[in-house]
Amino acid sequence: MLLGIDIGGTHTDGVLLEGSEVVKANKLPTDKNNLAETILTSCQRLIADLDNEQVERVVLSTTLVTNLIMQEEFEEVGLVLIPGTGLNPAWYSYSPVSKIIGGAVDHRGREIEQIDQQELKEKVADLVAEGIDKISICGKFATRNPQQELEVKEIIKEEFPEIENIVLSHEVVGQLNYPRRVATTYLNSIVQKRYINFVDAIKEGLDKLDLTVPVYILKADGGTMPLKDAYQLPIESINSGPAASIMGMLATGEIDEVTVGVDIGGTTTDISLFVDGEPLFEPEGMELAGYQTLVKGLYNQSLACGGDSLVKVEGGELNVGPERKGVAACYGGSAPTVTDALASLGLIEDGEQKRAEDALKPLANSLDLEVVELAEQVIQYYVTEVKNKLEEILAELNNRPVYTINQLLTETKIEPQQLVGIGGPAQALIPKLAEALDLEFVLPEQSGVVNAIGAGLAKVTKDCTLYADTEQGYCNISELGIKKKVTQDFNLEDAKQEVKKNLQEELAEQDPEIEITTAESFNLVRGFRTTGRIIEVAAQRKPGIVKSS
Amino acid sequence: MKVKAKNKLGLIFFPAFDWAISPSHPEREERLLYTKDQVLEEGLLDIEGIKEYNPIVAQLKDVNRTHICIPDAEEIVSKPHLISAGGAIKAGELVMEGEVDSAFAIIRPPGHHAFQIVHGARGFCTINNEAIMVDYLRQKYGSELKIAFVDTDAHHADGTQNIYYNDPNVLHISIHQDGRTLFPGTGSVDELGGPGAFAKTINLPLPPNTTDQGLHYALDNLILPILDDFEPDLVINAAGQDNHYSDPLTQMRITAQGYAELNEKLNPDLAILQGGYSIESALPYVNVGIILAMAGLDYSYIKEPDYDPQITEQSTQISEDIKENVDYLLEIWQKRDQIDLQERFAGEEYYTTQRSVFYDTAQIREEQQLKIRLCTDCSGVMMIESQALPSSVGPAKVIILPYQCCDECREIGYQEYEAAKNDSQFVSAYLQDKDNDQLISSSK
Repeated sequence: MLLGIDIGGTHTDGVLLEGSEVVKANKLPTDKNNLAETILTSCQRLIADLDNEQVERVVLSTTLVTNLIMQEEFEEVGLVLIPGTGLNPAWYSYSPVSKIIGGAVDHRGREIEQIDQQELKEKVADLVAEGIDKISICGKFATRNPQQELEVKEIIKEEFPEIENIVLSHEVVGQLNYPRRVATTYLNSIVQKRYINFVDAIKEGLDKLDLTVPVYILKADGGTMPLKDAYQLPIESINSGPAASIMGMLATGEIDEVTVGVDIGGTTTDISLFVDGEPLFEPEGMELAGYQTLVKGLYNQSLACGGDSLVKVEGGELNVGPERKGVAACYGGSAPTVTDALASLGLIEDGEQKRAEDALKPLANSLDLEVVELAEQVIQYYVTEVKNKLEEILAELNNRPVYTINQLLTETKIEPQQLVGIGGPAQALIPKLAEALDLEFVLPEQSGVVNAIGAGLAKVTKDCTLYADTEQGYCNISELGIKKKVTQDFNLEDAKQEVKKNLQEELAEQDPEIEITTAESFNLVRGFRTTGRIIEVAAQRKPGIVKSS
Repeated sequence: MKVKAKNKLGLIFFPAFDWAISPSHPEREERLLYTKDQVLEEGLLDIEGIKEYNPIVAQLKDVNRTHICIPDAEEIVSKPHLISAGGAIKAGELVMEGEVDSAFAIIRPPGHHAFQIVHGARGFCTINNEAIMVDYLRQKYGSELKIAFVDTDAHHADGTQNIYYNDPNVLHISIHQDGRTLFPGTGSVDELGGPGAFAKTINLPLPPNTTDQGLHYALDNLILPILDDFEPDLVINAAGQDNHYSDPLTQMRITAQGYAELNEKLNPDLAILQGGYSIESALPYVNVGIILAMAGLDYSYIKEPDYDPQITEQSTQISEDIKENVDYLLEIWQKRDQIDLQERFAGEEYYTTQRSVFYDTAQIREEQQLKIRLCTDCSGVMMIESQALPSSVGPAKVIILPYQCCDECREIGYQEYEAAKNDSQFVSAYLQDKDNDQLISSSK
């Protein structure tokens, strides 16, 4: 059996799954000051009647890293940047203690300026003098050639034993985009210590419960990572909330073709997309607290309008959200909400219709409408908001830049065919939304704990990028720390095999299906002669749902 | 990133990674590979205010608005050309619609060696992307738009010059390595435009080994003053990058800093990539420099790996040669309205000339007989007899009615077209009517 626990801002949901069936579920208030305790309580209740041997694994979806970054509760980390030439480095000197040093690597991974050891030592000495004991080293084009990052690390280790933790950017992310790599590496470093403490507390707690099963952490990309990776890459766990919800829809929603996922929360509505039955990725990387990162994540757009959004009349105009004044009136709240509009029409089973009507009445009067008419208008307002947002999303996604003639001429457009909806008022709202969008709809059962189901059933994911330059005779897979020699005849097919083999070893599972997401090969021509090839191959174990065992 | 662009910049970056003229041609898949890597690694697309767009695919009617393809556009033009032209059109529309302040189209293949009449590819260009864009914009937003080109490619922009040689609403300035030392050989200071657009063509040949100093001297003392006078609605930088000091095909010594500063001063509404074949050592840095300069951002940290400050020094002889040409051209520009055009374009009713056009890429030689009507009411109907060799098609007669064509020129044009249709010495006849946005043709 599998345990899935989703720690949200207000509630923590836990499920115990047998295959994909929910055997037991619970909902607890989240203790923000002690997430580990909340998680352990949830686990304890779920496994209370079980023989612990029956549990195969636990997956946690936590907001810890997101919270630490948003609330700026982190440790000071020194950034050592090797930017070479290009953009003004002040634009991405994210740490208040950033040092820029000489040295440079070019776009083909050639060292074009050496590290100045003396300068480096002086600048690190300054950091040490400021009390810094953690350093992140980020070099431009380090994913093409990590040598300078490694060299700087060696020098710091040798000369400054007081530096207890050194992180290298090429080991955190393998793609190009230096400012994002700096941000990702920096954020990863500033939360790492607290995150390790948190994970250790959970492990200790589980030991006490005598639950010695593998623990996995849900990532933004809808996959999970084992704890050994989570220690190294806590940043991957940001935005796991929406990822849990999307994976939950995938597990419970009979999703195929092109599907729009709608998660209706209290103050927001989250919109996601599935193409050919698979969740879509954010084209760049995730953004968090103003930092653009290279953390791979599932596509999700938030609309500031949800079930508890306040309905009001301003200057004779109906308006909904973005404020929230507690729960809906039909559940005992004080002010009218979208949910009350539904309740007044008798569409919410467990809400008090009368209270909803009373809350909406003054607004209806001010607009000279019957409550029923107002309620319809509120729903119409909400539906239009979602519809506009979806159109905006599709326009953006369908105009993604492409770089080949073939793609420009053949790229198919994303056209949704169905809608899957979860969240409190989904039952009442999704049919109306589907009608407005002219789509079929699906309403999963268990919609109250879908996120926890998504976390519980998510597979391990991993991705990496191979870059080979056969003229220079090397190939590397930055994230896996692989750099090796290749001969002139190393080709695209060899590169695909190489990357698959390494990713398979890394995943340590039986026959994980690995997908090649990029495969490019360019002939290098110098003086009318082909002198080598540049090959780039990206591969991933894509997110998916664990089949029952 | 902790920065926001001062000017909203649209970027049409279309490296056409699956297209080459031939496998080892300078216009091959690899040309913008390192530029892509540099742009991605620098994170330029994350800067607020810099946004990337896809090209549209231009239509054949967009080509026919600017060119007369012989035998026809279907025969000459392929999808990659239409996408490159569509990249320029997209850039122009973004600016005209106010979606961005300026736009840079990093597209290939380039266009500035493509003439009005097209028999094939020359100087790696088949159709003129920027001219197709300009004519598209004039069609959509009004033919009275005043356009200024500043072509900074190391090769003379003979194609764009040819298309607008007699068009008074388009100022075409080309600065290039002296034609006596480089393809296509033209672009001397005395090529100054046709009778309907005198001094709207300006050519400043620069001596080989000209550096940033010489380029900026010309910019400050000739180009910017002329632009101030002309007051264009749109300034277009045909941004060739082959006068970079590392370019394998030319002998100029411009740096990425020099290029970026040029774009800062020129502040073009549009920049359209032309040539530039130092694909590893120049293009990645020059393109990043132009993008930052156009966005109004600090570009002072951009330097080529082998940059040496001495590269900007040039000999006194070079400086003097440039100054002499700048002074000469400035005087012509200032006295442009006092020049007796009847005398200069000696002739009764028509100004006639002939020229030979060599298509180096397609290995074709074309002979042209050209007649322009000396008209006081419009820039004058143009008639061209064109014969290309080798060619599967025989001699052609081409009549071009300019924008704001007067009734008399129009009538003459149509009469000439009817006559050419029945004239046994021409295999085909074409009439391009700019005001009515149509190209008609007949062939035997």
